Amino acid sequence: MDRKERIIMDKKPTVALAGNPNSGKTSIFNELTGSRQYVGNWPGVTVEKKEGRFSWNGYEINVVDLPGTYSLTAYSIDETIARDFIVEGQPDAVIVVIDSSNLARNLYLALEILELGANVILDLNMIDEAERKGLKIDVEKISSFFDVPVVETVAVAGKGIQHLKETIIEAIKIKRNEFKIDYGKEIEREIEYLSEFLKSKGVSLKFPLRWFVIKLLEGDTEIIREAKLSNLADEIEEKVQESKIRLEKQLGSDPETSIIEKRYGIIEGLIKECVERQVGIDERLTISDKIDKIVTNKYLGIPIFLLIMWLTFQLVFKLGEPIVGIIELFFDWLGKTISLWFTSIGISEWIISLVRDGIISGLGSVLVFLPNILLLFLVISILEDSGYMARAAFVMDRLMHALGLHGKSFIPMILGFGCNVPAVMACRTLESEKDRILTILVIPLMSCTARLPIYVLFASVFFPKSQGWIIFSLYVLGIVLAIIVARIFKGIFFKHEVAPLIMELPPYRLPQLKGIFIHMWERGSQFLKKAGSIILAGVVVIWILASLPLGVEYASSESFIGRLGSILAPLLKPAGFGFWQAGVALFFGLVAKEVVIGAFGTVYGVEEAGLTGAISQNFTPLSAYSFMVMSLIYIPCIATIGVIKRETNWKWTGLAIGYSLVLGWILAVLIYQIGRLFL
Amino acid sequence: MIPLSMVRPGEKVEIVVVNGGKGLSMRLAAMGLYPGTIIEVVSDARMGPLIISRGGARFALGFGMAHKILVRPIGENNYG
Repeated sequence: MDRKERIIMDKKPTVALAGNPNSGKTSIFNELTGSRQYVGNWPGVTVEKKEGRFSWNGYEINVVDLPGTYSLTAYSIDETIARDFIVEGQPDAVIVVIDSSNLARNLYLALEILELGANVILDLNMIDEAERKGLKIDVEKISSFFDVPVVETVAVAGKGIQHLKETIIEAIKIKRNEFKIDYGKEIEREIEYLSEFLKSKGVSLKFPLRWFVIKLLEGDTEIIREAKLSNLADEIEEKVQESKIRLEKQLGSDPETSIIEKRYGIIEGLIKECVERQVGIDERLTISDKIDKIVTNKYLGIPIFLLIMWLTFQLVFKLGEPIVGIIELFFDWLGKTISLWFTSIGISEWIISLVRDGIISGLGSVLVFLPNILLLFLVISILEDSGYMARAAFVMDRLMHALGLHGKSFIPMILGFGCNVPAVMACRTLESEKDRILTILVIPLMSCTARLPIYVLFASVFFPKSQGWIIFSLYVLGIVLAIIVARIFKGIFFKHEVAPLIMELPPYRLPQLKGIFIHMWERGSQFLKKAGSIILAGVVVIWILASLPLGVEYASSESFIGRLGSILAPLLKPAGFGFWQAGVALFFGLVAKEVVIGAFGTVYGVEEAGLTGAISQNFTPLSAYSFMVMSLIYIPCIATIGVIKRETNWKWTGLAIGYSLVLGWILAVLIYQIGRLFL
Repeated sequence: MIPLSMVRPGEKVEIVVVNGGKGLSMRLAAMGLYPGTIIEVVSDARMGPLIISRGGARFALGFGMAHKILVRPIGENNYG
């Protein structure tokens, strides 16, 4: 091993994966690193960079999966993340993952990354799809044209991955020549002029100078701010404007268009050279188009979407029910057996109470809903993988647009049905900052799986014949409220045009069983972990507060928890559940919404009739519904509050907490009071 | 030349110019939609977004945006 190689090994080289959305980047990442990152079929699955590593021939390589992007302008946060990593992270190589069946557009990003001065490896992925389309690609020619290594892969089948690994090891040892596009003498003259101007001002940039100047000519003014040159902003913009006017005169079109045409000119020339096309094969109406004709039809689109949602909740409920029953019986048996056994070996009464009333009864009441939660994630995964999710956004765009939201906002909103935390992060794919914040603010109104146990429990006790409908109504209520709230906030805080919709619709794919189950299991185990940590802690705290002060009857209104609940109870009375147990459940539900049920389990667990019996005694169908509405709206859980703060600031976080508390209370009261007039 | 928003489903057209504001034409270009590209309108929702196809890829475009893209019909055109 020579010295240079040793240095590489000491430094632990890093390679980045870049590429268009849906080009199979995450699949490549998983194949390289043996990781099991979730691969979806909608643009923007990866909104944050993810890291992994692999070893090959004694080398250990870090791999960073960047968000999928079409270009490197500062148009949305995910693009900025990708670009900044390439510029500042200084990866030893950038693997540009290319969807081979869409070569031209994918190579556009590759060109931009090359211009940025990265050490590029081109990965022609999904080469099998290109072949099926009748495309024959001359890899050698592409490689020599760009002077970079080119690898062919089929990531989902694991094909070509070894070759890719070998190529990576080879590539990181080499310093590549600078890649330059000749934009023609007029544009080159202005590039030179602006570069000289910047140099004379003595600016130092994190970007390569030439690339920066080209971005300026492309009209990416955001980049001035990013380069922290705001003190020179006016001067630079003036100079750029001069250049643009000169160019427009000389070229007869604006420089943006000329630059695009030049790049695509190069790409198209290359494709003509390197790709043989058997015509006619991709001319036919594809299956995707046929499906789209129906599901995106202007009259059928929304009804189909609602039908899919309705079926989802029927499925989640009906299939889950028998398994929930079995788990319920298990915890019942466990509680009894353990307390008998503990008594027989002489363990003190308070420990038995902690285990039976606190842990088993509290935690058990949450864990029984694992089947429902897994089923819901299963369906969401299928919707994501099949490609329907992007269509749902399309179908809803007109409605959303009319109401002041972006069509793309709809994807994070649907993801919110799984868990609000990743949904808030998924808002990063929205290009406009205002659209993004607006969407984040309403995501807590999406019924996440943590709220599902509350619905399932109450619906099964009070509405046994129409559980599916009741739960469906709560999900729809969440969406309707989100849209109304967004409309109001938009009027107050964001008086602007909604950014126009442009979104790629991925082809429909048959969901891969393996992927779906990985996804389902990942989310399911997160729920179990949550049950073992935060929910467990919640119910133990409730148990302690219910047992103190010493000598008080467990979970009576004289206990600490009873007193706390009694303070809240008067507030909740107009909503129909003005007893202290409901106050306690809602109070601790702030930690995690599952704790609402856990708290009921802990404080009611001791009663003869059990949890369902206690609930049917204390609630009426009407107050049960208003309680479910309250649980849906009243406050985001701590994890969601945390992520909203991270993605925005305290001002918006405060607003999210404040409006949801007020709205939840008002709605619960309205439902109860108005309902009472009729029932 | 007509705006893309007026093209009927099934029609093939060539993009002539994008009258976009800041960044719009660059954004479209990065997705492979630039002057000279041939696209087909797959479906439209009256006054709503439309789906276009370009070499096998499908895109959803908002109505407002489709209005800013001027296109030229190619092949047999049957505009009355």
